[in-house]
Amino acid sequence: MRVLFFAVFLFMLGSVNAVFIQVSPPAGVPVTIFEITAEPTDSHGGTLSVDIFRRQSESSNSVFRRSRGISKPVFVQRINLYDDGLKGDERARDGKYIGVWDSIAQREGNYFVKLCENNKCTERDFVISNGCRLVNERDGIKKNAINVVFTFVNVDDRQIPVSGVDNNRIVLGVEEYNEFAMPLVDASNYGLLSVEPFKSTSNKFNFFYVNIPGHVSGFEAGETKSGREATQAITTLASSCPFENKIPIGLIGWKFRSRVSGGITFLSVDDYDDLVRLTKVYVHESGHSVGNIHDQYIVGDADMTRSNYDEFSEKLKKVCYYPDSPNKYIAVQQCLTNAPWRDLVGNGCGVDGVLDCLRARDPLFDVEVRCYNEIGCIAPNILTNTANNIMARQFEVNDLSWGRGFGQVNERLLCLEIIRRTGSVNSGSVCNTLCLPSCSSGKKCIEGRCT
Amino acid sequence: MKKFVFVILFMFALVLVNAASNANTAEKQGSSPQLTKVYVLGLKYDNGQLSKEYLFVTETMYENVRQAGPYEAAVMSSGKVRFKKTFSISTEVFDTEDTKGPFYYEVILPFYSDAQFITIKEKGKEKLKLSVSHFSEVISARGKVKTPPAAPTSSNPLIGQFVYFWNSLFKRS
Repeated sequence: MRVLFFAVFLFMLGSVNAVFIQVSPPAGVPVTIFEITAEPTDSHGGTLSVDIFRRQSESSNSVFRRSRGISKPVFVQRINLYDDGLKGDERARDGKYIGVWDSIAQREGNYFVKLCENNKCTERDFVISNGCRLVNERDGIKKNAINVVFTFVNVDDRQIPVSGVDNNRIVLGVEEYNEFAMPLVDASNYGLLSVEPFKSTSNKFNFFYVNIPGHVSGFEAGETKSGREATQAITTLASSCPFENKIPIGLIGWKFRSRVSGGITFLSVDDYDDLVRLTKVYVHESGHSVGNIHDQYIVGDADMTRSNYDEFSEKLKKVCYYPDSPNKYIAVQQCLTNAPWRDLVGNGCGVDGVLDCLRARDPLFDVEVRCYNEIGCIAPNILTNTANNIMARQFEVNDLSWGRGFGQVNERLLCLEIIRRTGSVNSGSVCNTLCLPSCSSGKKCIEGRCT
Repeated sequence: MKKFVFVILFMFALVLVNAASNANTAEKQGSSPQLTKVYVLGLKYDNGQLSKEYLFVTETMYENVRQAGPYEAAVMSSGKVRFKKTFSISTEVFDTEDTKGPFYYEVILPFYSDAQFITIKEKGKEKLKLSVSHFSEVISARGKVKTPPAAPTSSNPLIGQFVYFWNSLFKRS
C-alpha cells in the first residue's frame, strides 16, 4: 500500500511539468516589475514556486554574453505564481500561473527564472538592463514623436556586410545590432530619413533598437504557426521600449516576402546581402506602417471589375483610380478630373500644375503626379498617380528622384498620418507645400497654395 | 542705522538675484521630460477574441497620445475610473494575402497606487478585466524595505546609472 501511495505521489509530482515559461518584458530597467507566466502540462491550481537566478558575468560589459558554465548562477529570490483567479490571474485553475517580480535595486545582468518539478527543470532568460537603445544616441528622445523600434529575430551568427565597406563582413551579434539598423534610417544614403516627407519631419521620429536576440522555431510569411511565433516575439521584444505611438520592426533571419501586418513590419534579413535593397524595402514598408498607404504595383494579370474595386479598401481609392471607360484617353481625362490627387497633377517635376516632363529628359519624370495608364495599379486597368514611385516599384526609382521617390500623392498621405500621430510638423517641412488635406474642387496646389 | 538698512537692502537684493537665477534655470530645465510609472499592457486580437499578452509595470517618458477607436482602456479603483483612453487595433496587411493575424497592440497607462483593475471595452462592451492590485502591493512593499532613492546621486550606483542613462536619452533635441 505504501509503495502504491509513493508511486501515486511520484506520478503527481511528475505530472506538473512546466513546458512554457514567459517573462515580460524580456529586458527591463531595474525598476521594472516583471510578469512571469508558467503553463505546466498538468496543473493543480493554487500556487507554484519559481526561482530567480542571476548569471555571473565575466565583466560589466558582458551583460548579453552568456556565461553559463563559467561560474555558478546566483540565487536571487523565490517567488510564487498563482492560478487562483486573483493576484493578476484571469481565471482560477485554468493552468496559467502568473506572478510578478520586483527588480528594483537589482544588479544589471542576465537573469533566468527556473521552475523545477520532479527533477525536470525549465528555464527562461531575461535581462535587467536598458534593452531599448537609440539607434543614434546623440539625437536624444524627442517628444510627440513616432517611435520606431527595430527588433532582431533568428539573426544569430549571420554574416552581414559592414555598411559602406565592400567585401568586409562581420558576424552579427547583439553588439552589431546598432550597426545593422543604422543604414535603414541613414539620411545620407537610401535610408528612411533620406526620403521626403521623413527627411524634413525627422524631428517627429525616434529610432530605437532592442539589443536582445529573439528566437522562433522558424518563419514563413503566411504560414500561421511560425507567423504567430514571430509576431509574438517581435511584439514582446518591442515591449522593452515602452512608448506610445510605436511601430515595431522585426528583422528576421529567414527568406520570405517582407510585409506589414497589423502595424508590425516584417523584414527579411536575407536581403541584407545587398544593403541598398533591404533599405529600399524598409522605406517601402514604412509607407505602409506610417502612412497606411496601399501598394501600387500589379498583383494579378486580370483586369479589376468595378465591384472588385469598390470592395477594396478606401486606401486603394486614395492612390489608384478605376476608370469607367475602357478607352485609355477617356480614362485618363476622367482621372484628371475626378481622382483624389487631381489638385496635385503636374507637381513633382518642372512647373507645378503642368505636365511638362519627359521620361528621356527629366530625372523626376517618374514622380511627376499624373494619371498614368501604362503600368497598372494592383490590376492592369487601374490608373496610377505617377509613372513610378516607392509604393509601386521601389527598386526602379532612380537615384536622382529617390529623395522625392514617394511622389507627392503618397507624401501627402504620409504627412497627414504624421500630423495625426504627432500633432504637427515644423514649418520647414515638405508637408507644408502639399496643400493638406487637399484643395477644394476646381483648385490646384501651386507652390504650396490652393489657387 | 544707515549701514544696517544698507546691509538689509543688499541682502534682499542678493536674495532676489538668486531667486531670479534659480527661476531662469528652472525654466531651462522645465521642459525636460519626467519619468512616469506606467502599466504596459500587451493585447492580442485573434479571430475576434481579445486577450492579454503581457502586463508589467515600469517607468518611462509617458505621453498620453490621443487616438480614436472602438476600444477603451480604463484604470479602475473602487468602481471609479481613474484614467481612460480610446484606441484602435490595426488589422490591415500589406504585401501579403494573409489576413489571419493575430494582431497585437500595446496600451500604456499611468500607474495608480490604488488601482484595482484595468478594463478593456470594445464599443462600450467589457471584453477584459485585469486585476492589477498585485502591482500596487509590490510598489507599496518598496516603501517598507529600505531602498535607495531613485536619483543620480543615489547611494546605489546602479539606480543612479539607470536614472542618468534615461535622463541622457531624454535630453532636449
